[in-house]
Amino acid sequence: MAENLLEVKNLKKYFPVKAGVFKRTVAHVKAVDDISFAVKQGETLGLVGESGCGKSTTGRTILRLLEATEGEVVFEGKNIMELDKNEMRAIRRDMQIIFQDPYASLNPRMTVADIVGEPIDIHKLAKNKKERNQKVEEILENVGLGAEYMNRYPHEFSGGQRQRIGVARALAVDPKLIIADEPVSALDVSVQAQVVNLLQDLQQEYGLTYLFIAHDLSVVKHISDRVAVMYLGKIVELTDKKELYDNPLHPYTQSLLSAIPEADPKKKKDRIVLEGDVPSPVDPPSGCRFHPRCPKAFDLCPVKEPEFKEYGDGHFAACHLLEKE
Amino acid sequence: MSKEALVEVKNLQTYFYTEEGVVKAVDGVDYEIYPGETLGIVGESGCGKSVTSLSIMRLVESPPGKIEGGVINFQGKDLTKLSEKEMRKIRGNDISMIFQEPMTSLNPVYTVGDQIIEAIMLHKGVKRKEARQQAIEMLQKVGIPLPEQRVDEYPHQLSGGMRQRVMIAMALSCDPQLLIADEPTTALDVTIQAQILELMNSLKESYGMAIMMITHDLGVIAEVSDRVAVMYAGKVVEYTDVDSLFEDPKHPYTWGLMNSIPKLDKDVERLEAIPGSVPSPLNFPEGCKFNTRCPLAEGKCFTDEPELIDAEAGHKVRCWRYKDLEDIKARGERIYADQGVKE
Amino acid sequence: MEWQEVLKRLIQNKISLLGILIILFFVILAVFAPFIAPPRDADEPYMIPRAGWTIEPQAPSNEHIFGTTESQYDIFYGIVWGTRTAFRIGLIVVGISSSFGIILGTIAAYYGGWIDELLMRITDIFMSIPFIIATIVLVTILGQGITNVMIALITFSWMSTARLMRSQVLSVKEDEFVQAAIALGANDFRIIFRHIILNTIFPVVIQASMRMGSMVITASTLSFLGVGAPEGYADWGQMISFARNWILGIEGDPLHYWYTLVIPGIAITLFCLSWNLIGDAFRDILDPKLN
Repeated sequence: MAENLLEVKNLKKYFPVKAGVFKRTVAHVKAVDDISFAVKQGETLGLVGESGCGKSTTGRTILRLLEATEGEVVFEGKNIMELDKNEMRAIRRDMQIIFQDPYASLNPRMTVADIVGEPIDIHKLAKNKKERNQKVEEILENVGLGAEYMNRYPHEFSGGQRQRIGVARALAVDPKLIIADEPVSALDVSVQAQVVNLLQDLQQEYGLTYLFIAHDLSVVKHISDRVAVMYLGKIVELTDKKELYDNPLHPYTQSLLSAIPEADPKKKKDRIVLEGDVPSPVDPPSGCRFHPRCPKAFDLCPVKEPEFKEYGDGHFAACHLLEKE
Repeated sequence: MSKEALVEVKNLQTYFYTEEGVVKAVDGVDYEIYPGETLGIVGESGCGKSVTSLSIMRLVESPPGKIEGGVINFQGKDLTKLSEKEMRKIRGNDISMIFQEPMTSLNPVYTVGDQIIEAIMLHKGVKRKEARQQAIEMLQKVGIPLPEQRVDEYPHQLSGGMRQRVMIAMALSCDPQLLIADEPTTALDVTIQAQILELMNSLKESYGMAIMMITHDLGVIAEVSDRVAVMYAGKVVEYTDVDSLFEDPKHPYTWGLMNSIPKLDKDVERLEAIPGSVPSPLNFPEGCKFNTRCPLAEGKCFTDEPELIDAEAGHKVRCWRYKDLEDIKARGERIYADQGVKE
Repeated sequence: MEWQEVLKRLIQNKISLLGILIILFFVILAVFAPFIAPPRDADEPYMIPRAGWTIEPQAPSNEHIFGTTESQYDIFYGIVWGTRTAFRIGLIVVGISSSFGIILGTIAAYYGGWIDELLMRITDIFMSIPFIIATIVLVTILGQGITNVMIALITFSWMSTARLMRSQVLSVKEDEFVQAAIALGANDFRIIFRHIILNTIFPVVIQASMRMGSMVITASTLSFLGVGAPEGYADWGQMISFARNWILGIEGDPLHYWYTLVIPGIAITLFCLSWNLIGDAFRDILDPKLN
């Protein structure tokens, strides 16, 4: 079995809610509330959930773009939460991020050569400008963009091309782990497939490990080896993708799967339509956070928080129903 | 279909005159909507799907936009010829519209009740008290819990899904014959999207109205539509009923769209990606507009624009080579062969 | 939008082209001042030569084409060399105070927390002091002279830039490309200079252009009030203050001494107008992007 490249242990990220003249903290948004998982060397772990479930916050906290409230992030055996500023900067070579918005994630006043070359400059991976530009050219080639684009500015590109530039920038430092934060959801349908294919090719070529964050279950299923489902700051289910789709254990996963409209008019699904909205993470429901919307909730659910336990080989879930059985 | 069409759009052309040149956002679009059915319009950003609906509502901002040609028949009237005053009677009364982002279409300083009540009073000419009663009933019908309370709340107090329900309540408050829904679920989470789609389907049945569903999501199309028009670069490229569209897509673009999205129940190693990106409307290619991305394009495709023709009864397609596509499909081959990482 | 594109549009825009032409005219005047109006004393070129010792201004003549103002100071000479003074005051005051404001605003917004709190409260205190009164008091304490006027103007004019810059940086700081730079391991210096300032500088440039005119006017005001340039110094404000006693003309002819007021007045007005025109045009050009 492959080794764990990344281990997240009891990670918490609370955002203070401030009010009043003296900006006292009156409450906390519990964006990520005690989650643990591991990403194995060379695999793609999908992290899926609806807006506000904390999936993006998880990604950014792992990279320390946000400082965690509590918990450990162990990368290659080192707890990176304990690193100082300089050590952290050095380790960023090994873990990169691809953002959702291909418009906002590229500096509009820099040329493509400077955007993709920046990581090379920062980590001094080239001896001189010529060598740097040569490297940039190679990387652009690898993501399917020609060298003729080097001196253009981001606004001259389409969304799909910009996302390729973003991928090239992440690749420039030859990272081990890439956190892809909704990398295709801002793109047109026909372009999404291009980027998904590109990410898969690059993974093979460079032996990359991905943490793939998305709200679209079908894309996550396509690209991932294992999938973790988040709801309101918690991971409710984690297993390999086949098991997740064939045998979802958590009622939330079940309803999420059934809610996806499928491109097949013949298939009229037995849909579990969830009632109501996702509650606010400021004051999440007691016990199991899913209980107010859960079609199978019973008396124990509002009282006690279910444990995240293993049910069968590598299939984790947090639900009282499963414990009862 | 022998029924008479509720809306008949013929050769609609809506252009935008910008500093950089003329954008032919909608360039010769034809379709019909029959009473009680849902017509799905699917396409990617910039294909003109939203502009066609705005043209029906005559809400195209002018300048820079202008309906340059074509006919929109609705109840024996050509909507392109009506005065603004006559149009105002139709908007919200006979034809209503809901948008992607309900927050921007609701006025933040009025309660949701006020906004629905105003619409009812304006179009039905009833007194305020009566209108309020009807507003509460409407909120109930669209599945808003505790409507007597919600009616006095402000838009920001509601969640995204609730706001979209309010928009639907407002749109339906005057019993329209046509509801235009422009990406109504795109901004919502999947579980909320499922609620809204189910609501729209059930309301369609109880109200007997027609729906024009505009979306980029083939899943949503499959879920709610009776017939579908696929748009690309300002034109309808395929037009048929929903079952034959998904069973037997005849345009290479439709085929590509369907195979580029991953399916939950089918595992594929690689997605079939359509290469390149949508051409800029300022710089559409000669001939078939899909020729820059089409693996089947050859000779004629680069010089002459194909017409929207009947490939089979009731199944229209705008492609010179749809018969060749049939053969390829029959052989079970992929047309978007692996392009590598190349764009 | 790139710099070249902005420049191209500035020149295409009729209003800003007019502004640029006026400024070019003043630049030529300033650069070639020694040839246009050769100084009598090469060591003190900024002192306006006097054509006699009588008080009453003299109307334009062949010898003094713009006439002379009170105490026989040559108006033409004063206008030409006053252009240099105007540029010096405008560029130095706006340059230094804007740079200071940019640095302060950026630090406050980028680091946030107590640093932001402290810097912004200091800014508030400075903003609460009435500008003109504060500069008059400071010049009076420091003593008359152009340098001291500039010090006073700088001291009390950096706050608006600091505030503007802070709000700009606050919004850009959260942009994903800045997050991306952090994720790449970039240090604060690189993030601030390569990513943040480059994307926030345009509104500050617009503001600086507008401030060029207003700083020159304020300097003139100080001279007019008698706390600015020393007597006889080539400064437009002072030339207007010379005109003060002659504004009413003589009995039956109120416009008798018009040249003492109108000529330096036109110089100041044109100078400020041109910078404002450019600033306005800048804003129009960049507005769609700012929104």
